[in-house]
Amino acid sequence: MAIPSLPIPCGSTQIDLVSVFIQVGLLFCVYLIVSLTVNLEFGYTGIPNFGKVLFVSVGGLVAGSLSYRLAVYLLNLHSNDVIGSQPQFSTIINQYIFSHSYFGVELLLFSLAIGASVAAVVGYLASFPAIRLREDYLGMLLLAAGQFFAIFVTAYYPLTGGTEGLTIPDPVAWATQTLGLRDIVVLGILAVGAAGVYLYAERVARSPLGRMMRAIRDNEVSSEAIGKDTVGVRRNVLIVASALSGIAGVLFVLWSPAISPTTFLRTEWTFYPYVIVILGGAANNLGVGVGTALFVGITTTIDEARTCVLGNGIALPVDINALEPILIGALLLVVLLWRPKGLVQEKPTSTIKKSKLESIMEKVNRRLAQLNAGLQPESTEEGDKTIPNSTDSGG
Amino acid sequence: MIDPVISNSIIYGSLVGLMCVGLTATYLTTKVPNFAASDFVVVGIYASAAAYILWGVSSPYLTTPLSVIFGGGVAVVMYLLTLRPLIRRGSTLVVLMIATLAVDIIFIGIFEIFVDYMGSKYGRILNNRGYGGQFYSLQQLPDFKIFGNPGLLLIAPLVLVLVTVGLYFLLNKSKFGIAMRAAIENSNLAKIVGINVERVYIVSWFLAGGIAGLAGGLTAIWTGTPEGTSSLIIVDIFAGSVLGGLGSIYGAIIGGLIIGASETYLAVQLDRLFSALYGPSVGSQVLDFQKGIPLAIMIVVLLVAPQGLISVNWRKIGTRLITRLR
Repeated sequence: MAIPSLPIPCGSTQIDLVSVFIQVGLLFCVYLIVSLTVNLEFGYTGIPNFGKVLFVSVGGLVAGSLSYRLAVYLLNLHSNDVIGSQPQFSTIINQYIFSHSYFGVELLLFSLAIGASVAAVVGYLASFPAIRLREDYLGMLLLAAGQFFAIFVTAYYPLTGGTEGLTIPDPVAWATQTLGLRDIVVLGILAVGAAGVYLYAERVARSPLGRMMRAIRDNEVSSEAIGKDTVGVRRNVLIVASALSGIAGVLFVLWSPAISPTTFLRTEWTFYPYVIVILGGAANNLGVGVGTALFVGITTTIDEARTCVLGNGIALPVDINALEPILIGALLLVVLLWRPKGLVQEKPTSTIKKSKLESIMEKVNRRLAQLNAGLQPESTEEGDKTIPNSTDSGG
Repeated sequence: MIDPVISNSIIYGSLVGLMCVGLTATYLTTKVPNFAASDFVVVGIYASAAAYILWGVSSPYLTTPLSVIFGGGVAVVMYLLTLRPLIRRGSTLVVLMIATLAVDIIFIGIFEIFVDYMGSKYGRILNNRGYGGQFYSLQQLPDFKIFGNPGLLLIAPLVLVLVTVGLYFLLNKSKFGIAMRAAIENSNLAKIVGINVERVYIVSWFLAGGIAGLAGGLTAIWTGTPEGTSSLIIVDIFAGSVLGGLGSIYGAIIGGLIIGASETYLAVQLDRLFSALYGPSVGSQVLDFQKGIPLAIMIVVLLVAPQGLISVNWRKIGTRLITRLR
């Protein structure tokens, strides 16, 4: 069974729509996770984490490197230079996963756990200045830290082999026996991950914690005055969001299992998630979903147009790759200037439904009327359970 | 001839000092850390280098004034197009920061196009570096020599001193400078007294961009410029400005001087130390991690004295030290 292809012509070359759709789906899932974490930090709590790339890449790179080393260790491969001998080792590991699918699943779970915990630790470390500093200082510090980590990865050979990069074991190598099946499996895993993160973010947003986060964002002093632990909330938000970013990094690497210092660039993993959140609407998870879909649509269109233009041998005076950041940056400025609240605006805190509220009020009024009439309340009535006695005094 | 480590420390310290003035001046007026501050420097680098290549002048110092004009012009355009409308809207600080981030990303694309174009057309200066793929890198522009030392060893500190003195006289002795300080201190009150606050802001953005561009024009003479330089020097600029306290131009000069000099000097010293301890292969790696030095200084400053060097009561510390020594 092979995946059908749906080619559409483009000059002398053609573009396969099915593979484009799969690519859109994969990008959508990863960017949705990262943007939701940005929304948790920036949209709900007001933490300007401009070092998002740090957490995503720490998760992806460290987990990828460690899973490779773990696989090398478990399969009893020996070499003086484990990183240097990765071309042979990766083939052996992937062949082993091809025949033993459970090993791939174990590796995936291992890298998810490692990615989440390493990123969470980095988030915890970042929270020390984060709870003390003003927004501007924090943004500068995290941006500088992300920049330093990029330099670190480039120069530190044992992690990803320096600039050369590292081909890590493919946990879904068992799905490569059928053409195109791997993409579907990866898409499935990513979709489950993205859906889980979305549900979690939505649950947090609707909970009392979500309301507290918004209160801290809007007025930190007054939330402190009513006894809210602003420091603790900000720290926890940073840790949780960082762990989820690490997971996003691992999932992104799952798609194309080769890591190098240029896998995670600041433009793509700090700036683009912010574009998504602002485009869709900050402090609104649905808006972030809309923003992600729009953004991925735009970038994929640019991507395919580029492939089409280059495929037809049209020589352009400038590097067409460089137009993407310019367009996206200009788009963000336009949104900030003319639609600063995004496409889907932030909604007021969700409360119980109006019909439910009315039915409760009705019962309260009935009870009051009974009391006023001097009658004993009938304890057998079903409404008694939902209306505690204390509401009498309140009504 | 002076030891190249020392001379490089002095030169880079002076350059970072100038760059930090650019960031701090914009921070003072608009109260937002400008993430595109390093791009003004790179604009300065490319403006000077492009003019030097295209016109074929004898010395790159002759084209440095162009860096000032381009850096300042770009800064003013950025302020007028992005920050001023956003501030009028009453955008929050975080939104303003994101807007400067957007400008930074736009610059990354523009630089890529520029370097690509210059590289394909005038390949002899902007050549392929062949590091991690297709990277264009601007070669160092020629410098004159004084007794075997690079000319920048004289020029860079001299420019820093001149800029400092010039800013001192502008801010304290001229009417416009006093109006500028008033507008920074309390813009509403300044408006009441009849100061054109908008014009003051535009001029201070031009000054900020121009000084950063000047630093860029000199940087082009000091070292080569690979792609992505703006992302590297932003670490130094932030660290230097935070060390200086973000609230004072003079603090920024001192902070930048310390950061630039200590980064260059410490990296080499650590390289020597590690080479002696663990062999040259380990030691040479230290140089790759040298941006960790400004980052570490920045973290320590933020944790110990978040308001920077300016806020520290040096007299108190001095007297306490003296009494303890007695």
